[in-house]
Amino acid sequence: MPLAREIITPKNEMLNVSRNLKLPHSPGIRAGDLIFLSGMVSVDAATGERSLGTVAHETRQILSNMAHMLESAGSSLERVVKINVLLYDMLEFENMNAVYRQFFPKDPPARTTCGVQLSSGLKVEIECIALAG
Amino acid sequence: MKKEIIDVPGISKHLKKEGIPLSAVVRAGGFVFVSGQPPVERRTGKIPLVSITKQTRMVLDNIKICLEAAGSSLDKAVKCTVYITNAAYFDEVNDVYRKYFRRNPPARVFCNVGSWPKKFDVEIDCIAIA
Amino acid sequence: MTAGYGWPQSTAVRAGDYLFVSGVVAIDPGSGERMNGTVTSEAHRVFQNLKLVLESAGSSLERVVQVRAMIYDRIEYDALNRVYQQYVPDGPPARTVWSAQIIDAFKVQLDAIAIA
Repeated sequence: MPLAREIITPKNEMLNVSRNLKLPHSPGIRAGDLIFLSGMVSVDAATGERSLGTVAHETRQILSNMAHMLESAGSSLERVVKINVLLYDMLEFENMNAVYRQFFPKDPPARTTCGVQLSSGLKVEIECIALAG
Repeated sequence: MKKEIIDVPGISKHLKKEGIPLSAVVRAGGFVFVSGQPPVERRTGKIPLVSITKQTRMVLDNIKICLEAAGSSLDKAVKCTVYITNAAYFDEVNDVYRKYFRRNPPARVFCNVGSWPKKFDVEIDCIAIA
Repeated sequence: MTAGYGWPQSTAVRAGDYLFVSGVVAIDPGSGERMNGTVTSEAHRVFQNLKLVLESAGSSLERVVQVRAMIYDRIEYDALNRVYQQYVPDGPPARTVWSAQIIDAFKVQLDAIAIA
């Protein structure tokens, strides 16, 4: 009997980029003990608009929204097990880290960071796997 | 259902010292998640300037140690992502990689990425069965 | 069907309740011949290959939970999406897309985790 597969949506509908931009993905999926989130870029939680800025700003926005997304699913940032950070330029690694540390002050998840091209002038994108609640 | 942070001898202490906010290995939900491992020398915490072949060997040795610290092993790996800065390195990376995963190798993705801000060319992360 | 025909990787690995799939590119599943083309033609081939891999392992496109998609140039994002939405179910999997150089000059690569 395969695991049930459940779509995760954020309580704050402004953060449902999948639906708002009509993109072919779900904000997240729960299957068994694990939650898989789609890559998140910096979105203003009040307006749902992309919120471009410095790497620090975008990282902070993304991780705040990620916390909300996971909490909407009964999980939390503390239950994240693996993160992938995509940066438009790896020279900004420390700028991202300085903010990232504040969100994962203790027992941080496993992580890989790499430099790739993102869309729309965005500088940061983050995806994660977390334990369900 | 808890998540466990695994301390990896020769690796975790360097991460802590440099204030890098990640755990080398996390065990949860029946799986082990290994962070992207660059070619770091476990004794010194430094990344030496060596060939892509030697870098790949160092990376896979580090992954092996990470998995074993969590009670897992290379033959329980299910998925690896290989990040490299230059597609010309594929063959050399493969030649080393196949020595570490001789039978029933894990699923794998190759990803050509922009350079890291340190002088190395390959990094690999991994999900394995706990 | 996955990148690196003959390479040291398994097309898909089952572990517990999940199936972990290697990067899929546009090659002919029978001959292994490269089928480089447009993002559109490659994406169709990639999804058909992904479907074959999943179904051989007893899974399906409906059971995919996470996809990572790479395109050779972010300008092709819309082209990728137009094909992508034809293959994913209602309630599509989680996804992350980025641009980077892909092996063998392919324009699209996908990897996935699915429920077994």
